[in-house]
Amino acid sequence: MKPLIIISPDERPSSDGRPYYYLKRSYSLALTRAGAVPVMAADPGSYEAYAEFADGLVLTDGVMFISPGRYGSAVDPKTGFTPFDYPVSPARDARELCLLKAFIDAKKPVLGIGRGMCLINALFGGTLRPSGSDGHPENLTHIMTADGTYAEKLWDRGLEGVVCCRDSIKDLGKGLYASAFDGSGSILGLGHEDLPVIGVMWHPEPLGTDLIMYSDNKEPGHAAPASKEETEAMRARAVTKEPDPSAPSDRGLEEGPADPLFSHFARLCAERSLHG
Amino acid sequence: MDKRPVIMIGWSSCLDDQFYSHGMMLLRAYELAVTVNGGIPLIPLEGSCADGYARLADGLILPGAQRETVVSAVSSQMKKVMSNRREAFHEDLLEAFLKAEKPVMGICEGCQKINCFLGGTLNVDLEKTCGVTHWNSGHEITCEKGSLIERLWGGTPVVNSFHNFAIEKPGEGIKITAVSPQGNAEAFEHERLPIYGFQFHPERMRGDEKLPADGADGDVIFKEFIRICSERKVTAR
Repeated sequence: MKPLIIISPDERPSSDGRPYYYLKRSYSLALTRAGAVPVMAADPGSYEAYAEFADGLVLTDGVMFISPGRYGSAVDPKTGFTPFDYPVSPARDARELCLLKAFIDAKKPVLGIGRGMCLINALFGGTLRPSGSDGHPENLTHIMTADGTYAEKLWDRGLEGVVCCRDSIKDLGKGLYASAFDGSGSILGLGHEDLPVIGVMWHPEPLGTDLIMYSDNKEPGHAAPASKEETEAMRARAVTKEPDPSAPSDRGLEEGPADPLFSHFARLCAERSLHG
Repeated sequence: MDKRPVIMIGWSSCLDDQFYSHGMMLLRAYELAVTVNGGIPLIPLEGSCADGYARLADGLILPGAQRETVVSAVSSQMKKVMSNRREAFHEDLLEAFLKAEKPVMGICEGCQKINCFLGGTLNVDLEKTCGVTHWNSGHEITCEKGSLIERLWGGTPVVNSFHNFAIEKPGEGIKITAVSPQGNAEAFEHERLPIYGFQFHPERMRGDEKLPADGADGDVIFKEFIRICSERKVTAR
């Protein structure tokens, strides 16, 4: 049986102000490609139930930074605020720390990506350095693995990865070890000595699949008004909800190659699965 | 062990403003309504996993369409890809849940989707044919005696309206159980299977921002659906 893996979404206000959960498709594709069944987490009232019946948790990256209150060191001592104009989401922090704690308590596997790795570090008492402009704004970075870790097993000496998160790890939390570094010695990957918990600062999900939609239309510009014939064809299809055959298909993306990290994580989850 | 039934809620398409990436979104109103009324909400993501979702979950809710994009100008091709993908995803889910004979509830576009999946058709110009707009307005509906909606809400409850389309020809096995003053379908149930459709939004007829203020209680609908899911939950997860 395939492992069931919970993914934690981003939370945003909609155009009419109502809150919604949002998730990039590349995360669910990455897990599907690795042979898992992905689902998105919803209400915090069910987090303990999730940790009971799901086999693993993925904490995703997102546009919101971790609020400085979670780390004394991330606050500028002079101003008491973050040194950069970061959008933060204390609500998402609180929600995800609660979800993470439920999975840690159940000793279930957890994978943190970018922001997610920073949260894992926070839960175990580590600290964060907001590196801002001198961080890794969407850079292709050379990543070096640490000897004797899962990272070395997966990528040998190193790999190239896209690092977006502008926060970086200062001190690792209790029980955590570094599994990868960049050229300047910043920690880009972590693991836990006793628990199936791993984290990376780069993006192992297939980022290209998010952008593939634009292959026919690179600039998201204003659409030309539809002709009378096009409008009529659209209406005819709407009556029975027929798909539009002229749209580029995104079917079959789940057949793509699995990233070694997601395969490793799916294996960790499957080994411990209740559904097996 | 948590004994509450797991209720899956389908997503809507969404385009991310910062990375221009195509994603999935769900208004929290749906999952909050499920939680408050005794279910464990969970959001399925990939159509290729639909059978797995149907095995795990005790029921499915297909929500209304929220074509959310924070990018003001999305290319027409992109819109088509997003809409096709959602349609295909919901078809995968319906196929799996109907095969497993698990309860399904459709809200607004989700209700229309179930109807089309079972071979029905839609009126795509409601305003023209019925003479009034069904957008952001409250109105009375007339429910058929003995139907689920009549048992829950009585004969003439007041509901909200956020739709431009409506069911025209009912799909196979679908029985219309409530109509608007203009005669268009407002609710249905299936003759044989635990499948229910509501053209209005019960998730917005509850809590702090109840629409309309004098409307029926949306929680009652969710509570009953979740009760049906619980009752049919035969095997332990």
